[in-house]
Amino acid sequence: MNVIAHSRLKGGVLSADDRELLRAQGSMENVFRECYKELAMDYPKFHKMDAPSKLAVLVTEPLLQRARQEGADLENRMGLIGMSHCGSTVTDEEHWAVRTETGLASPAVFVYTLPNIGLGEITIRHRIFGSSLCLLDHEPGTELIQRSIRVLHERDGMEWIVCLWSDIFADRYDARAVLLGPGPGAPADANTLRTLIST
Amino acid sequence: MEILLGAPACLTPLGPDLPTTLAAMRAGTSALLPSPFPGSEDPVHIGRVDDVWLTGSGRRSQRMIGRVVRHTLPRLTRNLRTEPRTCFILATTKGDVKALEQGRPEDTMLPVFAARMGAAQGFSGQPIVVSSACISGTLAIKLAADLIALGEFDHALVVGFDEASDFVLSGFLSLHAVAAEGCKPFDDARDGISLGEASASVVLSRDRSLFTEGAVAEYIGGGMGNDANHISGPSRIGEGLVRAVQAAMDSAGLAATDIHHINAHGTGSLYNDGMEAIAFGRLGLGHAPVNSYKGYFGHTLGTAGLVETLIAVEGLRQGTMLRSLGATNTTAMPDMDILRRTGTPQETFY
Repeated sequence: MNVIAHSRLKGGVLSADDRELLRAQGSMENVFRECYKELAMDYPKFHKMDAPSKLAVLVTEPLLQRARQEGADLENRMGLIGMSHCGSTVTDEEHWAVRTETGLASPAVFVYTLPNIGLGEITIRHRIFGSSLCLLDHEPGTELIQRSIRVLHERDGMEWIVCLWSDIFADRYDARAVLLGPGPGAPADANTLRTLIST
Repeated sequence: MEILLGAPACLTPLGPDLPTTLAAMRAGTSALLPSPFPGSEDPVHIGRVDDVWLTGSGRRSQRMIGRVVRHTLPRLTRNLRTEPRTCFILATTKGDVKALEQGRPEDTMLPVFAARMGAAQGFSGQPIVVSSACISGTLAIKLAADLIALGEFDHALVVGFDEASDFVLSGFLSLHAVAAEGCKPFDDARDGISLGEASASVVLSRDRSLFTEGAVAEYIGGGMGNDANHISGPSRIGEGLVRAVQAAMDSAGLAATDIHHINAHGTGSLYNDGMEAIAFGRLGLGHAPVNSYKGYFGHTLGTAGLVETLIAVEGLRQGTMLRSLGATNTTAMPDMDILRRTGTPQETFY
C-alpha cells in the first residue's frame, strides 16, 4: 500500500500533505470550530461531539474527502485504524465530575466515554462499513501500525486505510493521519510511517 | 495454517473458574442480584465477582486478571513469558476506571494500565490494547488469529477484563438502559441491560503441542463491520452485524446452512436484541438455535466476547447448548430459534 495523503492538527495548525490549510488562535474549542468552517463540512452533528471525537473527525476529513475523489469504495473497502494514548480520558473526567457534583450522570457526556467513539463518528459521517481497529498505546509505534495495516489489508481485504493517531489531554491535543491506498505515492514502509505518524 | 485455542480460563460472577461457571449456568443459576445504587430509587441488579475468589494484594483489577492468567499459563508446555514470537493482547473498555473514581485519572489510561498488568504477570514488552467497546473481546481473538496467520507471531495470550463500576452503571442508568430486574435477553418483555464484570484468558497458537490438555477449538474465521449508524444505538436493520457475520462465514468458507448454533450478544436491550434477530434473519440463520449469556451474569463489556466464546466452546465440548436465561416469552421473534432449554442438540429440539 502507498501513502496517498497525510494530515495533521496540532497547536492551532491544520495541514494536509505539508500544506497549511488553517492557522487559528485561541482555545482548543475555537480552533476546532475554525477547522470545521475551513473544511466546509456542513455537518451539524459535529457540534454535539466531545473534543476527542472532533479532533479525530477533523484530522481525517481531508483524507476521506481525497479518498472519495480518488474513487475509493468507502462503504466496503475503507479500513480505519485509530490509536491513542489517552483515549477518552478527558471525557471520562467530565462524566465523573457531573456524576459526583449532581449525583446523576449526563447521557450526552456518558455516550462519549469510550476510546473508539471518534472512530465511530468517522464511520457515521462517511458511511464506512468495513473493518476498524481501536488500539491504545504509549506512542504511535510503527511496528504496531504496520501490523494493523497488514491485518486490515491482507486479512480483511481493505483496499484503502486511514490510520490515525489522536491524543488529547487537558488542553493539549495532537492528531496525525495517513491515507493509504493503491494509487501512486511513497510505499507505507517503516520509514515513511515513522516520519508521518510516529514523530 | 491451523490456529488453535487452548488453556481457557475465566472469572465470572458465577464462579472462580470456567468449570464452576458452566456448571452454574447448566443449573440455570443467575448471578444478577439486586443491590442499592446511589442515584437510583430502586435496587439495581448487578453481576459481581465475589472478592473471596481473589487472592494476593494490589488493585482488584490486577487481581482479577492475575487469577485467570495464573490459571492459563501452567497449562502450556512452554513458558509463554519467555517464549519468542508471542504477543499479549488485552481487551477492555474501561480498564481500571475505578482509579478515576478514586481521583487518579492518569492511572485509568489504558496503556498505563496494560503496562502494569503485563509487568505484574511477568511479561516484558507492552501488551496490545484493543478497546472497541463491547466487541473488544471478540475482536481481540480475531486480531490474535490474524497476526498469527500473517506470520507476525506464533502464539498469543488474549486477556479480557472489565469491572462493574459506578462510572459505567451511572451512565447506563442516565440512558434509561438498565433493566428493572435481571435482564431478559430476547424476551418479549425485555427492558434493558444488567451490568456484570469478568476477566478471561485464552491462548491462541499455531502449535498444537503447546497445550498440555489439548486445544479446545480451532479458529477458522472471523469478520467485523462498522455499524456506521449512531454512537449509542444499533442500526435497526443490523447492518454492521450482517456484514460482520457474512465476513466471518466467508473467511471460514461456510454457508448459513453450515451454522448450527449462535451465541449472540443479546444484551437485553429492546433495540439490540431486535436488531440481532433482524440480522440473523437477513443472513438466513433463522434455523440456528440462539442464546445469550447476559441473563446469567450480565453484560461484562469488553470481556463479554471473550468470556462468552470460552463458555460456548466449553459447553459445546460437553455436548450442551445453554438456554437463553430470561427468554420466557419470545412470540415477538417467531423467526428465531431461541434456546429455552439447556441440553444436547437433540434435547433442545422441540
